Amino acid sequence: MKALWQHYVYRRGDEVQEMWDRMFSQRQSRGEACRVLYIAGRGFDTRAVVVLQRFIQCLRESRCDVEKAELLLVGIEGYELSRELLDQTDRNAVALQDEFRSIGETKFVTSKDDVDGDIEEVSANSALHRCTKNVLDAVGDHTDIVLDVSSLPRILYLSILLALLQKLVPDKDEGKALLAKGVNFQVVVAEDPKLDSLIRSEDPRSDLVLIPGYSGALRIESVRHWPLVWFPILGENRIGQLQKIMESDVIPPLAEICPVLPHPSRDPRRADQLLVEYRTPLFDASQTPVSNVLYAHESHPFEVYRQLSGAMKRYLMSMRIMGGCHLVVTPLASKLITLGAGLACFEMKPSAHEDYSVAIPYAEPARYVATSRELAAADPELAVLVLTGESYG
Amino acid sequence: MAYRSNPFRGRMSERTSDQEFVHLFSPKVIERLPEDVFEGAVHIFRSPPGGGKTTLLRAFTPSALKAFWNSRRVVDMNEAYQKLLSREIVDELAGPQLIGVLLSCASGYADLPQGATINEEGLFRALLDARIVLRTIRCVEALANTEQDRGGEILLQYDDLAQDLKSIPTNVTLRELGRWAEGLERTVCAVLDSFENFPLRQIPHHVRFEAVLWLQSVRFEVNGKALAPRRLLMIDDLHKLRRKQREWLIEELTDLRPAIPLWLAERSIAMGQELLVQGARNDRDLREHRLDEFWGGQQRSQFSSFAQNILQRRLAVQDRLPPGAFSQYLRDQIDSGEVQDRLKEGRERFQNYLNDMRDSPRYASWIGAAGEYLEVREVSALHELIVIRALIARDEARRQMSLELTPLPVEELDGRDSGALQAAAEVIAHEEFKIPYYFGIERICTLATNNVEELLAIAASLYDGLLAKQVLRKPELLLYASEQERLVREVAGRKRDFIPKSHTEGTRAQRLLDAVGLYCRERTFLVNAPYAPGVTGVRLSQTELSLARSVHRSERDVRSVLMKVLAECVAENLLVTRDSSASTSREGGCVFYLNRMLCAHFNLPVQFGGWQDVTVGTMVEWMEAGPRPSRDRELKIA
Repeated sequence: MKALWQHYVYRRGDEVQEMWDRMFSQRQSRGEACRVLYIAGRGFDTRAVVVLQRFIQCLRESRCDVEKAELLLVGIEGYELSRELLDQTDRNAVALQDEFRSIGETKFVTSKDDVDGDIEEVSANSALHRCTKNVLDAVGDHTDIVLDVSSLPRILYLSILLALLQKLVPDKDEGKALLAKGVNFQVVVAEDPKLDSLIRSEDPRSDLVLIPGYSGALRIESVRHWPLVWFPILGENRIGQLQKIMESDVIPPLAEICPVLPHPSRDPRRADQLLVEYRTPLFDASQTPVSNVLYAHESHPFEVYRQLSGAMKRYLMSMRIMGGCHLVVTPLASKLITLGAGLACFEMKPSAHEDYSVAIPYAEPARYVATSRELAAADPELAVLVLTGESYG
Repeated sequence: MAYRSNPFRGRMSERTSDQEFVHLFSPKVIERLPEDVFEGAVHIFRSPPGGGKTTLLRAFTPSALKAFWNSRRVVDMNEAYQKLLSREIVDELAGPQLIGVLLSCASGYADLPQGATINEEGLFRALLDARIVLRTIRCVEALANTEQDRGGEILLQYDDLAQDLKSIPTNVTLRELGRWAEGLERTVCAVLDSFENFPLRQIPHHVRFEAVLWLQSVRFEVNGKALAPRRLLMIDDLHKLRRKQREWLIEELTDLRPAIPLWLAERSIAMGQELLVQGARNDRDLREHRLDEFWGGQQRSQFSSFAQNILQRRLAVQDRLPPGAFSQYLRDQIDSGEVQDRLKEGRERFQNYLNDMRDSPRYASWIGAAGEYLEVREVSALHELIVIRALIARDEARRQMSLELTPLPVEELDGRDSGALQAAAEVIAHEEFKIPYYFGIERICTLATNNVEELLAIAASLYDGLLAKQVLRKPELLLYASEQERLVREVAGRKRDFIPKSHTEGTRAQRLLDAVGLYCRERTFLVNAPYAPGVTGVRLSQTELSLARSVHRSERDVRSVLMKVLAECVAENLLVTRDSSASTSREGGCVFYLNRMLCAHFNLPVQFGGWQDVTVGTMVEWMEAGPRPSRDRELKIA
């Protein structure tokens, strides 16, 4: 199986603006208009505003003809935040709208839209499904779709990313599948590992959330007896979430556990510290062989994608003799690593609707804790992954 | 592949092979099962998580029953086998006689689409029917998979009741039936996963839970021989369903008046807002069983023997320590050598106390008796000194009211002493002089709060401690009282610290529990020990409970948040509820006792008993603001 993103477009830091400049200037020189759908979270993280400012600045400076531009602000429901963070969320939403007003209008979507009946009866999975569907419904004849994950919770941006990829790349085996009829789908991240580790997530919900489209492997009775390989992608302060998943019945006793650690990393000891942090659940309760540990570059999502999809392919091939196997990924690490893991899951999901093999269970926290001072002190570095579009033509 | 290094870590219900499961399974629980549980009716089993629901259900699945039957000649396994034999679950020659079909509600039911345009109930029934059929087929295949049956085709036969079946095909082979159920399940899962609007006519729906009727009317035959004639349908994790689904399921299954036993298992409190009001119905067709009550109340010693049996079985599956009773590794008495300094400090402090009291003629004989205890270098003597101090403090408080001056004879000391006061002395000695209290197998079983998972967490830590001693080549492979206490308190501290990381309302729950713990400490550590052995719970009267329940269901209302937090704490076994009946001087209510491990964290006694009335307002304040000490740490008189 050939890797979808064997060649890829990934830019970081100053290269991001250079790439945008070139992308939109070329469009301008070709006399093509662009129709932009910019998806961002209505969250407390101030990095979303920084990303939008830079994007609009590039768009304006390129003098590209913007035929239509929509900002889709995804409302994040059901989290418990301090008054300070709630105020910050409101301020961010106003700032995002103000910033975008110069090129287009803003729309809002939440998981609570169009709910029939008792809102409390909507499960976390249904809410995620509904929210993702609302985002998908907003996609029309756009030439550029930008997903800014800076202020979106992990589970939500993964769900949106995978649903958009499914919509844009319905047949992965097609020759130029990633051309996606010329729709440029970019994922933007303002990465600041220091700030990410300061934002604490607490009170994991008791029900596991499964990414829509990636749940069948854990639900279908007739394939439950397949062996299961679990890739927990480890990050700081997520031990409660990991234990929730281990305590649920989704990870059977004889599962092959392959922890994924960030290495290389800015802090060369980071992987070691994570091994110590997760010692009890992974190495005391279940003596996971150290040889199962995978290492993935902290700041390079395509490297993570390559490592993870390579391991998944090898497992699939060796387990074929047993009828098949489930591949289960739980992303608990930083945004860039999570994105890489998401791409690997997309690639490994069989195209046929009735084939199930990849699942992404996650224990979503109910509460985020951070201070405005920490958020204001963020020093993010921009990174862009261009996943489909003319670059792949 | 993952291997377990500590036999006490990891839940048995989900994370073991069948062979390992039957070796670890304690048959004591079968003994405690009520007689009527195998009668045709809906039986609901409730317990907090880790209470043993799934373990109990798994024991009746065909693969586990086969494993029990296969191990019937193994000495350690014979007890379980005999108990199953006496209940006619297995037959000596024919093997398992029961097809126990176990399903979990955790898998997708709550995510089924809702809304006026969709027949929610029909879709839910269709998915459950498909899974019951699929799981039954797997069970039958597991049962038939013996040497003589292998290769024989499994035939389906139906009795007259099957004529009523509308949704499940009855004129097909086992394989075709499997394909039908598989197709149905995949369609429902496709509806679940799809972002497209599914055409309504393609969405399956069933008009009743037909698989129950199918299961009771179908017979399986292989090589002309009937397979296991008895049936049991077990549905676990009912609390994972949506409220409406849970109501439909219980109501409809009960209305079906099943001829086979249906076991439904759920956490003690399924719905946050319905604290203490669940389970109104209990009749011929619907029977409720609380698993923790199998061991609770007067039968606490039953839990202890069950717990020790579990520990012994776990110990038997490892090879680093010699197997046997877990208690052989735990000293059940304090070695005076390990607390010599603390005893000395205690004697000095009591010497000063007795010197201060020497001028009081009323207590002269008591003080004389206390003086004799000062000569004894044993922990028990320190306890006696604490008892005498408490009795003097109590008498002084009463005397101030009555102006009684008559000297008290030494015999009265014995008369006023009680078991509760002795127990209080132990916990006060622990608080005041750091004399170990949380040690010994009995107390460790009590600390588990009738919960197997908690028992295993403590045992895992003690096991690690023993291994450490072994590695360090300590002469005695035995944990002293102070060593046990250190390890127990580490587990207790982790449990408390982990609350915000493991519960949806964890931060509030932690604040509330910290405040309850502090409040209990303030009421326990009084020099006259008025609530001996101590206070470990708080009570809400019926009036207060009504006040808390009467609020409008708005998320912002703090009282409704309190009810949610309390419900979650009860569901997670952080608080244990006991009804408190009305008396002439007070109305009835509900006592919320702290989990016994949290008692260890707050240095409180392990016994249930003492509680204090509080108001909803106080609890709301605790939940939002956390503990606020109202007294200093010195022991004072109430």
